[in-house]
Amino acid sequence: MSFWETLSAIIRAVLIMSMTGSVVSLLLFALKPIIKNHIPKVMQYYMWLFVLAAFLIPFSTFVSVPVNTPLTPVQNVIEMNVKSNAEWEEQVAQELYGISYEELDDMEKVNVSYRELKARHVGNYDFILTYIPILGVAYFLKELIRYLIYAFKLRSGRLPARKNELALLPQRSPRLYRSSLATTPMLVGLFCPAIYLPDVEYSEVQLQNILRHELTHWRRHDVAVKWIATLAVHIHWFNPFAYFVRREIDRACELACDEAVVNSLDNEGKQSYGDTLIEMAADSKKPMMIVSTTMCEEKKTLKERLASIMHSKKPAKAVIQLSCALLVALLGAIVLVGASSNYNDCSTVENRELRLQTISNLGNETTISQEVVIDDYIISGYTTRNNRYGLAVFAADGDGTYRFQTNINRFDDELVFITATINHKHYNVFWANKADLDYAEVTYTIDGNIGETIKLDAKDNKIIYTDAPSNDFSVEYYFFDINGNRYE
Amino acid sequence: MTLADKISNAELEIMKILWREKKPVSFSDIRIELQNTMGWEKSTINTLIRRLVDKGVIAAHKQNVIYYTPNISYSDYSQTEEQNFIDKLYNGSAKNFVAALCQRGKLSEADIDELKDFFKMGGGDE
Repeated sequence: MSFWETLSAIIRAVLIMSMTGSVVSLLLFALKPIIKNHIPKVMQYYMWLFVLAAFLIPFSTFVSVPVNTPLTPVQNVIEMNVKSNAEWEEQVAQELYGISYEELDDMEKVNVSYRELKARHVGNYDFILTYIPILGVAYFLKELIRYLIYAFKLRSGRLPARKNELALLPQRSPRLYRSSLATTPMLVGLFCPAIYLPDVEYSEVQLQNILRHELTHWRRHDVAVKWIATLAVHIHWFNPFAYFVRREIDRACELACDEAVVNSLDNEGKQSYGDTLIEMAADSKKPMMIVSTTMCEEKKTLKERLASIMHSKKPAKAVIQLSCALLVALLGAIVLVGASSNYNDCSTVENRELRLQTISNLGNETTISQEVVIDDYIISGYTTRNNRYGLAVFAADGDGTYRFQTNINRFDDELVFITATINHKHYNVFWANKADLDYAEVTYTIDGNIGETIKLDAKDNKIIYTDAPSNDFSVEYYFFDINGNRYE
Repeated sequence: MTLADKISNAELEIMKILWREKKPVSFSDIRIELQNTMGWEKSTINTLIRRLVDKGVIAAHKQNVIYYTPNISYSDYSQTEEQNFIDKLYNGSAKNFVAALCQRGKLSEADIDELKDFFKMGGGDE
């Protein structure tokens, strides 16, 4: 595969992941008010991590679920339209000439490239394709560099922690420092994590609570989670849901951390822990001028955390089991939504049927009843709702997969007739959806000369085809059933 | 907001003169220098100085004419500048790469009191 083909495949995968993640996050947002106070915070945190996985793991590239979801038409639109210049040229070549682009002669190539550009009103697809990753990478680099400067300044100005503080650390722990630049205690660093404390005075109790909190973050690798979430936000920079999900992950992370800390504390310990949080949130260095209360985000989240501490209790076994079940169900939903786009390879009749069902006027009642293969192209005869039926052409992509190319349908009191171009040859294809068919008669008039009537077997509703003449022609065709009725 | 946060770029030019001189400077000395170096009008300079006095960043002292002294030293100012820069980095990007305890400095005193009243574990503490 060329570079551009690989790039467009990656971007299609990113768009599908973006959609999967958005839909699943909507589901979780809808569930949130119901489960918020009944499921352990750590379970809610894991649920949001699953959503993050939906944004980052392209299930559709390695799992295939032959089922249509309401998202499937959107996925089809993505598959059909996000293509590199070369892929568009190839598709148009197949539709117009029935062979691949490289087999065309120069005039035909110009026609395809010119028509394609003109018809789609856009200049250079390859160029547009690059915007998505380039902007995402640039934005991520900017954020990363700002973080690295921050981490560097923090590190170069750091002071050693005091003896009593170091004594509070367990055997296995990250390093501990004080810093005049830190505005809150924090765990910093992906590979060599260290806890930084603002360079102020702490009581023993405050230190214990602070360290319990940061050590829990350390054990859970929450810094790595934050890095991954930030990466996801930049890969999906164009999708507002990614930002909402990151904010939820941040909130859920802190709530889950608090939950783990207070799990092993009695009421007095919990009171002390909450007090420490409030004290840390207050700022003695720069007192705010505003005397009245605010409605700011920070106050709301802190209040939520305090409420969670007040209501914390050990979860019942049933609740844990329910939570695990919910996690599994969520994973199932993610895989289902994410992977169900893979059937666009129409190499099996089931997939061909599914593909037709996504076409807007067809729908779930579409079934394929007949098929015929002409020169490695598959022509499927199908019936659908509203008393309609039709023919669909699936072109071979050369590597064993098939792609939907075109279709035509009619009311079932009419006959279906299409001209298909397959490998540079033209065929006329006829089909009727009547009971007890016997044969069909096809008569060509070429350049004014009426030719012989060709009689073709139409039993069992076979799809019938003939070579189409290259010159100007007109054709008359009739179907006959076993009782001698004629259809036209 | 500290004193250092309240100094605009234009006002900084006046501060630089005061810091350099290390002694009280009169209005006309400030005016002459800035008219030469920056080409500002007398009224502009007047406005800037008045603003700095109103904000409490410089003090005015009358002795025949008015002399001005800075209320914040250069070292204090630059340290706060550095802190502001760090804070901007943190709030902008760095906080997405680290695991913190909480957000500091965004709550008013009344907010803190409200939260303290709100957070009470039951069971023998009161």
